Amino acid sequence: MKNLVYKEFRLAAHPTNYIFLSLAFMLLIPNYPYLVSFFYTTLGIFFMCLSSRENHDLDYSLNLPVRKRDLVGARILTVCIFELLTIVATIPFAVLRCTILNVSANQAGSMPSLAFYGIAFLYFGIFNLTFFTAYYKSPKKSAGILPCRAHSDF
Amino acid sequence: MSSALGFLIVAIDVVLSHAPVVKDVFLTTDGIHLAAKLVILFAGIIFGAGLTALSYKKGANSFEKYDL
Repeated sequence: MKNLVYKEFRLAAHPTNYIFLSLAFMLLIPNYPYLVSFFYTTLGIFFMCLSSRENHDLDYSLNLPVRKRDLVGARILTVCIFELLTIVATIPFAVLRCTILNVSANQAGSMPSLAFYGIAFLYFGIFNLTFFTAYYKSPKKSAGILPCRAHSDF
Repeated sequence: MSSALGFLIVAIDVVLSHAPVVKDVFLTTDGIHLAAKLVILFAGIIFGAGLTALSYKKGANSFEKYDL
């Protein structure tokens, strides 16, 4: 499993997975729905699965002497690491927003407090369930699972 | 589907931060309502981890049946 996760980070991870970590700074935007900063992480995960399909990552991975179940586990574990990294990356900005920049309450959603992070964990859980359930039913047709149009609207 | 649910959760977050009874929990950042915030945090962690475990189980079962 450790080697498969390493493979995911070296070969399957899309550059946007790392770039979108920097969007943690969005917690400094006044009067903004801060959960959107986590939304970009899910967009990066979608890109990772999309690029895996284009690079025939699953075809090559299935040639490895591992169980199919382990491939799924490695992908989901990698995604969980990216999600946790996102949450960790937002913490300094949340502290800044709640202390030095705490000039007014957020008018477009909750402030980045402990309750906010509870909702963020729930958000990632619901995303993982809906996305990966649909993705692994037909990995070659991942484009329809998460419409890019919806993200461009944001 | 995933993005639609994402929008829904963002919308619920916005509504909760304006709801009369619970808005103080979501809009305050100091120690006020700490117990409620901790309950929401741990409930989120538990449900998030549970849903992720379920996604692994369902995803693995689907992928086992899928023939590339």
